Amino acid sequence: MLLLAIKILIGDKAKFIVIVLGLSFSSLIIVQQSSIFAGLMVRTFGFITDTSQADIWVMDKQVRFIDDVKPLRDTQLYLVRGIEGVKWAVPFYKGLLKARLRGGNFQMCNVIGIDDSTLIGGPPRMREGKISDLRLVDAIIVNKVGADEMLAENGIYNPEKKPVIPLRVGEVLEINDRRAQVVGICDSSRTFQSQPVIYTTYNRALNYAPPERKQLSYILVKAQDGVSPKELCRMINARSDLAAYTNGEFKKLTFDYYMENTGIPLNFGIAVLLGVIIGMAISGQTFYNFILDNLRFLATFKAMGANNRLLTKMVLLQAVWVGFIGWGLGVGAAAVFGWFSRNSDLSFLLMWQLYVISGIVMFLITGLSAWIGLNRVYRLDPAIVFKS
Amino acid sequence: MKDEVAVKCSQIRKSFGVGDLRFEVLHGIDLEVKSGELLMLVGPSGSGKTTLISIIAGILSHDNGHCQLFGNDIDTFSDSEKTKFRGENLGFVFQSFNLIPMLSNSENVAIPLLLNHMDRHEAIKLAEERLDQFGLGDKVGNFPAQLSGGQQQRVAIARAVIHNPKLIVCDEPTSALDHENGALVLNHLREIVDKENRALIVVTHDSRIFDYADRIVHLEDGNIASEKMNHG
Repeated sequence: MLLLAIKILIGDKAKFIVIVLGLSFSSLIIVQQSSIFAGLMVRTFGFITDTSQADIWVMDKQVRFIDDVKPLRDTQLYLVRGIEGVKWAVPFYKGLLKARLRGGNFQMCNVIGIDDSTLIGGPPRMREGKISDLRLVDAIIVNKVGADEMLAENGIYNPEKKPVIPLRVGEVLEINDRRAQVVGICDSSRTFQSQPVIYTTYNRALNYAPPERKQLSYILVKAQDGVSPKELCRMINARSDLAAYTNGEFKKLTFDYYMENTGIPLNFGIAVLLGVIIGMAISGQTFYNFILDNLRFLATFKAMGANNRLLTKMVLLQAVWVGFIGWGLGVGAAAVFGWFSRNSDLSFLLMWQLYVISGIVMFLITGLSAWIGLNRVYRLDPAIVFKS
Repeated sequence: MKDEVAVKCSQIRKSFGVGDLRFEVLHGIDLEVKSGELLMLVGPSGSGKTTLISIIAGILSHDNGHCQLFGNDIDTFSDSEKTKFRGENLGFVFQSFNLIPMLSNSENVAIPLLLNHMDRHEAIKLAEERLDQFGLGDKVGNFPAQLSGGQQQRVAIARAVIHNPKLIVCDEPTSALDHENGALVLNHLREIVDKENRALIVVTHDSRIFDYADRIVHLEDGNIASEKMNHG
């Protein structure tokens, strides 16, 4: 009988297609929008992910997220180095500086200054050149996306549609009127603001940056073997007026800031809600109508000896079946969308949790419709089969 | 067993509505149907024919009286027991066929067997054999919409008898059919009664088929107005 329930469902082709398409579209919107949201949120802490050599980030207590730099005094670096349990502590500069390009254009760049001696905090992967090349005069390393797009010749403001010529190793830029020579191209996580990322040494970065009394953005810390980063954070917090976070905590701090202080979650939340409403309005309603349209047949089954338990199983199986197909097509389409957009500027992170969440939503939509429909089935008088 | 009492109803009363709107449809009906008997319930619209067969089939409860099917007092059955009893012992033929349009003819016929937990392949095989007996062997994989009205009703009859029910209840089985197809359907039903010793109750307005009945019970305003034996 359960197989017949599926045949009855598929046999009503028009309704079946509407239900499946509605659920697919709903599932696609939920997964696609959530994936873009997730990708965007991951970008907010991309720098922290890239700077994985350190266990701990130390900063001013007022810092709310990675780009909310509140410079520290250089002496605070020595204070941290003196705390028990610290294996090493290095300075880290992060600032937005203007670079002058070959064609005369200007581009704001994320300039990262890493420890001159150890080069800790450098790019995660090199495409051309070596990190140690940063020790050369005026050396900078540029991220691939920046070199190919915004720092490329004709990469920005190109009304005549001239060919875009990527920035190459050996070429020279000006950062704040100072010479900067490209010695390497690296990969780095895309940033939330999508600006090019330029790595250089800490002291050179301070030369590029406009003079300020305090210029140290962060202190990167490694815990000694046997000392847990969390425990070390507690000690740094206790012995200084600074805030210390593990990588995970700093990511969460940044993530929470964007969640609480920007309209991004609300905007994406509305889009996802729209997906759910579309699913409810189109598929939920159509599935409910499908049950109502089949009441006469269900009554016939009832008259012929089907009990409510069997009818419930049949309707629920139909709900699960249609929910599964709609969900599968939707997440499949979202995955294809993600695959095609993998090399674009679009942030897209399809997490397994989204498969689960969208699946639950699909089954809730069809389950709710089935439940409402089943109430009619339970109250169904099989005597209606004798009415023409 | 020939002449076994299939249905025994005594003093069946049934009302619908409440308060001032309450009206009694059946006023104490006594009725007995035997195995191997084809009984026709006739009478004008509103006389209570459909209500009576709904009560006999155990899908409608009555207010007073007793109704026994093959010695079982179905009044004492719970809803689920009634449902199970119907599935095993009753077959139905409906005025508008009530075939499931999304299922093939053989699947439609196999439904009672599947409801009685028979293996699907076996059920379909038996259904195909039944359809073949009814002259529809070449239509087993077709859908009801691909059949004429007469053919659809024959599929419905095949479905009603596939699980060898002791009692078959037919509601206006020929009302949607022309004379020729109506006669064909009644021939099938008559054959089932005679050869397979089933009890058959047919509710009908169609005087063209009265000759097929063993007995005709005329209902009027919820009472049995007359009874007429047709054969012997």
